[in-house]
Amino acid sequence: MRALGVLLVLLLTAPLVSAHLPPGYKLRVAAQVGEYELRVVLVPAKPVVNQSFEVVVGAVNARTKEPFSGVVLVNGTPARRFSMAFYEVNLSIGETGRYTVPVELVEGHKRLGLNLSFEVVEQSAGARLLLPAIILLVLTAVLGAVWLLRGRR
Amino acid sequence: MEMEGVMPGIPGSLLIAGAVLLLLLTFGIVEYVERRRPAELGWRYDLLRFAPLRRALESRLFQPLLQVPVVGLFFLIIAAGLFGVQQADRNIATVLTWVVWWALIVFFILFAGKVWCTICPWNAVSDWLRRRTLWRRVEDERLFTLNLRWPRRLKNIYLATLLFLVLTWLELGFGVTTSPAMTAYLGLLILAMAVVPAVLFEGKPFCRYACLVGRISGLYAMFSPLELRSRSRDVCRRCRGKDCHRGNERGYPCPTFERLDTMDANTYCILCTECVKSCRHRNVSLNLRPFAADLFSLRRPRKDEAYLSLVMLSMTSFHGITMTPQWFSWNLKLQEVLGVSYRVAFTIMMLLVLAAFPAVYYGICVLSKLAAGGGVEVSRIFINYAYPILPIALFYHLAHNTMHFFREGQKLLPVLSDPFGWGWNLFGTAGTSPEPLLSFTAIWYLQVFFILAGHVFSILVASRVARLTFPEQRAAFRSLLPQLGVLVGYSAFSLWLIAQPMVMRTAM
Repeated sequence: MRALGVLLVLLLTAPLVSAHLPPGYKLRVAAQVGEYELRVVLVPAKPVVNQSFEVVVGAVNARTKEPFSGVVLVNGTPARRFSMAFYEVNLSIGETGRYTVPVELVEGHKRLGLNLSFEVVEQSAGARLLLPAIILLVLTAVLGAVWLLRGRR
Repeated sequence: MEMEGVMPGIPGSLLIAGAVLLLLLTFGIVEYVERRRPAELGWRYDLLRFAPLRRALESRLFQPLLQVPVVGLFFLIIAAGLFGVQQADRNIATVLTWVVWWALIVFFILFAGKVWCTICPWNAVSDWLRRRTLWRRVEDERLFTLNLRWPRRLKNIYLATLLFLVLTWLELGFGVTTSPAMTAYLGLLILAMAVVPAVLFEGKPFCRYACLVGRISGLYAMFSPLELRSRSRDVCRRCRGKDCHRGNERGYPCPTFERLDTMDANTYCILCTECVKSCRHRNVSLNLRPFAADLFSLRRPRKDEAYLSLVMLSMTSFHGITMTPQWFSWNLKLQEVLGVSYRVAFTIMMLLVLAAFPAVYYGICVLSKLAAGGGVEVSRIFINYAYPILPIALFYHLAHNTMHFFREGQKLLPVLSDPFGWGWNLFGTAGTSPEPLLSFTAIWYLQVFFILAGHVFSILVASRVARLTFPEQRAAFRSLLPQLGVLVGYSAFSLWLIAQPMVMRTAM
């Protein structure tokens, strides 16, 4: 009964709590250059000041998911490889909005380029809590049913 | 030269040396074993002779004290996965789950069997909900459960096998290992899967029949040098209460429905130590024993376990394949031929590998029957000879995880200081890039050692299984020959896999 109570309290207070959690940031980007798909990830800048972020761009083959193995030029200069498929972009963003970075993929004589445009949008904590809330709801329903049925058995 | 995120495979010279050793060991062991009577692997050393350890295990506080910190870490993972930065190597959810836990759990099993189940957070939370207390013994009637009977049709481990396949698909096809949020969702989903059966059914049917981690570790734990058993079977036979099974005021009934008088393998024991508490005769021992003791004795081979063993071998190999550069070109070719997307091609290839291993193995079992001159059904050969595959799967898993843990494990240090990737520096280690724990050369030798060790054990177990399956020694030896071929093939394939460059888990 106590467990059920705790779950119910959690479930009822989740929307209130999530409204007070700091928002996350999500990128909207769907760029493809040649056969390569570009992904963008936000990394919090250190130290975190005014929600400032650094940007890394990932390039993978859209069909094979193989990471791009050539050189990536960002703003005309070679980007440092951040991890296997990601390259650092010398750009700090401080707020939501639309950003554009010229990116070129160079592999041998092949040169593919585009102005990579992406949008940073706020994502409320509630959106990230949707699936956990569903799981919590199902658990509460099951525990509630068990509690009711136990009394009758 | 190392490219960030890609680990080189073992060098060609080591691959060839490993392959030569593989063949030499095969012939040497078979020659040695076949000339001798099967040796008894009877020695045991009971750790509960140490009074402090026995007292600790008899205390009801023992398990919760271990579980509480692990449950704390589990909820930290969930929180970091949901709210932290969504980048695999900067979030503790992905690093702790996939680089540390998933890699180390196989080492845990190798040396300590089912110890993970003792501290498992999913098991802990479902137990606490069911009992509504952290450690006290609550009367059975007051447990928060409907005590329904688990359906008879599900009293096998096919459900766990299916969940293992689903996890493999999610892990490799959906990239769960590179997504902190999806890692958190998966953790919560498994928690729900553990809690719901615990409050609906009697005992812990999820642990016994459906937990993919528990069932895989269950089969691997047959190899482990640690076992919980009755000290004397005679005492068990004379015992009327069967408190280990039914429970009493000191301990809960065995959650996985085991009885000490019949338990002869580690597979289904979850080391909850309830039987240590409840046995009035103090007839429970926690033994050190020779490696692979359960495999050498093989008392009750089962079809569902045989299938899981084959699935484990095929999926651990498939896991390795998907990290090789060849994988990308094979996948692309399949996409071009069939005109399908990456994920569909991935699923087709996974199903092909899943079907290929058992199909080849079945063919070998038919050959074994023919070589032995009949007498034993193919289905029996199929089931019994599936157990010698386990050491190969276990040690390939170890070899593979060695690379992951010793080259990526150090990433835990920076994320410990900044678990959410929010720019914290709790212990002064944030932003550091510590050196990997071992050099490539050390890892390569370890990997080859593991593959060869797994091969040696699989050959030894196979010769024992041959004698257990075929009463006549000549027939046993003949049936063994095709199986040796397949074991050499599997081990050689494992060597080839570790010779390929691998893409790491936190690379993307």
